Amino acid sequence: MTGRSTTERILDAYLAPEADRLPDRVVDAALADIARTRQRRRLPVPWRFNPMPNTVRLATAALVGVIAVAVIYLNLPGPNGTGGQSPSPSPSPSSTLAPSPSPSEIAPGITAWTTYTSEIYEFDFGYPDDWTVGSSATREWQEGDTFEESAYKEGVVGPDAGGVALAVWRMPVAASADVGTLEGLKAWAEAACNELVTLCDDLPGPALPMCLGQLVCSPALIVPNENIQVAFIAHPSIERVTIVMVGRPDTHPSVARYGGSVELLKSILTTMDVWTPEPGQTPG
Amino acid sequence: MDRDLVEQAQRGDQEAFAILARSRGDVLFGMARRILRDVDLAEDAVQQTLVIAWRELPRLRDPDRFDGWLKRTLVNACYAEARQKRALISTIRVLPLDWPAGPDQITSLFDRDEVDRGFRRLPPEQRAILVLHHYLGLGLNEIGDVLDIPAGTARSRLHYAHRAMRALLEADARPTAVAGGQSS
Repeated sequence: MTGRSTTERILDAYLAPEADRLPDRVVDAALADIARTRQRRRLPVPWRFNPMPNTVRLATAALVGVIAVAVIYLNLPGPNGTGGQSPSPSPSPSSTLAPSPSPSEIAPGITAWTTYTSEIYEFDFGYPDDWTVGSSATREWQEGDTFEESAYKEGVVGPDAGGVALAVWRMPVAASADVGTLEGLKAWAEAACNELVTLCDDLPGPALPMCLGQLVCSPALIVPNENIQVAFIAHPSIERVTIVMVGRPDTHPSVARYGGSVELLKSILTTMDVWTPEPGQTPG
Repeated sequence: MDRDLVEQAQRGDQEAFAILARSRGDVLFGMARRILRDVDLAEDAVQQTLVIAWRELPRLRDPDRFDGWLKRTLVNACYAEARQKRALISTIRVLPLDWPAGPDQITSLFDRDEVDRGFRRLPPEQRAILVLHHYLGLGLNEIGDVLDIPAGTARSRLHYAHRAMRALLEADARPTAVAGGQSS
């Protein structure tokens, strides 16, 4: 008695290991490509942080403060107006430090992430570790749901009372919709906004193309709005679109520490493997 | 030893990466061939995987997790291949997999073409998790590592994939059973 169902045993046999042999020409072709391919730089910061102990946090803050004072001192205009210190051929102090986070990847004000796992939608995302979970989805989005309905949203709120909030959920995509292209995703997003009524009121606005995944630049986009910032992430293979929403204007005080709500949204998207394309890269 | 090779490759050593690529090629190909059900697409996916792995390798934080990371890269490459070729899928020549030789009571329960037909109707994500479990023999924790999902999520996805496969097999078999019942 193995406890395996008939279906499992059929699949065991159907997918059984055989003498699979990759032709040498495939590896040779890959190596030829590799000889012409530059490796990407090591990520400046991991996209999922471990919680930082308070002592380390304080020490880091002190170190940052010392460096900041040193940098200010070195850049203060001197008597000749060219700077506080004369140029030196020796390496500057900052060159011996680990690379700092790129502002375009992780917003200032975020020092650590907490991972949220959606049991309803089966995905993970990260939120700043001083935020708290506000509400959890109790069911998937369903036909007829409007933006005001909360049962289908995963919600996280910022540390300030009445401040910023984050909502994440997924919506199904009709088989006829081609969200695998940026144009298709834009069209779908516009329709979704109409369906959700108050989600995004100025589509098709100046959407920012984004990339999902490290293998190919699959389409995602951010639609900045006056009051809320919305990202649409396409998963055509599972016929779903993930929607990530930051619920504050870009200039709201509660998001100032992150450089605005759009930068905050971009940072959160990095925890979902979404990144800003480089010039010349086109999603889809 | 492999950790050394991974670290060398992370620093840009192409010869070290070539050793890693050749030693993993057959397993990657076996996975891709089963997920995509097409030899040409599988070769493309493996080639793409190796190039991407080379490019992204410096971003792999733990060299000991190279194999899981490489399999994840391959699975994603298969998704991309499946998506990009979706429009052409009806014209692609699909090669049936060879079956183990000799009598097999289990596989004889269903026509092999029926199993193949059902499997290819599953979405790539479900095919991938079935391949990880039934071809590579990975447990739920290992599947979670490869797909970067919690083990509980891996469990539910595997459950749904089994359920979907069973439904497809039953749906395919139903007309035959009805016909048989009518003739007796």
